[in-house]
Amino acid sequence: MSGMDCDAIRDLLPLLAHGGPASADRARVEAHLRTCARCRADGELLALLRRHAAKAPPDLAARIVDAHAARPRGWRPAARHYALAAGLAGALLLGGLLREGARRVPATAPEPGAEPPAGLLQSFWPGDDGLAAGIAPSLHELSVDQLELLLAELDS
Amino acid sequence: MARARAGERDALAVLVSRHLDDVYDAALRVLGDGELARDAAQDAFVNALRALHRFRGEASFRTWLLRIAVNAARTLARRTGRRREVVLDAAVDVAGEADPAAGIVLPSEAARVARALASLPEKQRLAVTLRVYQGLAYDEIGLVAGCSAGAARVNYHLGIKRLRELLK
Repeated sequence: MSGMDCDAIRDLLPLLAHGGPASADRARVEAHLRTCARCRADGELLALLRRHAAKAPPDLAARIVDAHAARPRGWRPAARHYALAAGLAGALLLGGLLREGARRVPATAPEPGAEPPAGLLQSFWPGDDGLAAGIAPSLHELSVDQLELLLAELDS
Repeated sequence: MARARAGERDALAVLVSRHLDDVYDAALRVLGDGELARDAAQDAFVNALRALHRFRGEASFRTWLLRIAVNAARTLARRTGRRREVVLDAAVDVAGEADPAAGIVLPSEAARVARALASLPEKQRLAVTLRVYQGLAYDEIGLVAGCSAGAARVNYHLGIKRLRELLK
């Protein structure tokens, strides 16, 4: 057995070609292989496999570096998520203010009966009675798409 | 690594070249198709290079990259329905022969090895190739393949046992 059993040797065999295992174990593996035909056959099997390792196509490295260089910049997914979260927080804050405004028509509110804007903002516009119409106080009921649309309208 | 993180093209090219064969091989073992493996390897590198600033060094860079490669290959396999057909084409792709009409004859040993490897279940195939071709430890194989170190060891030995029967 040369100090190691066959299971331990077969665990270590594939590492021989990669500079492992540590030198003491390596010496024991090599000593074992001299006396154990089955483990030696396993070593030969691994050598056979290694002779047919796959090689990447020669042009692939350049293609990858080019693809990396050509990637869209300045709008990473993480940044987009942060922006969306900040936008939603702003929209919720605005919703709260509008809800308050619907109760106490502020001096800065548009004149009742003024021409409302188009789009979702229309829902926040005060009606003739000075109260916001439609879905104004219920931002939490809007879908993500509607919230994104609302943010776009607020930005424009 | 710092220069690659800074986006220097030469440093990126060195980094890619150093790991390309490993990444391509892992993708090929999952997909069994050279063209798809090429696409998966490219996706893996582009994703990894984009996320390089998030690599913290808990695992080795190679292990981290191989995990991304295996995930990219599995995603592509799901998208193309490729996984179940691995056995059919892998021999040709691994042996590097693609056009029988051009009169190229497959080396019989290469074909036998490729077919034998391709006939293994994916987890055994990955465990064997990551251990034999890349010398990974079982816990690293577990990280790459998405299983425990113990499962990686079992998969490796089951794969080798099967290959012993197929290639004797």
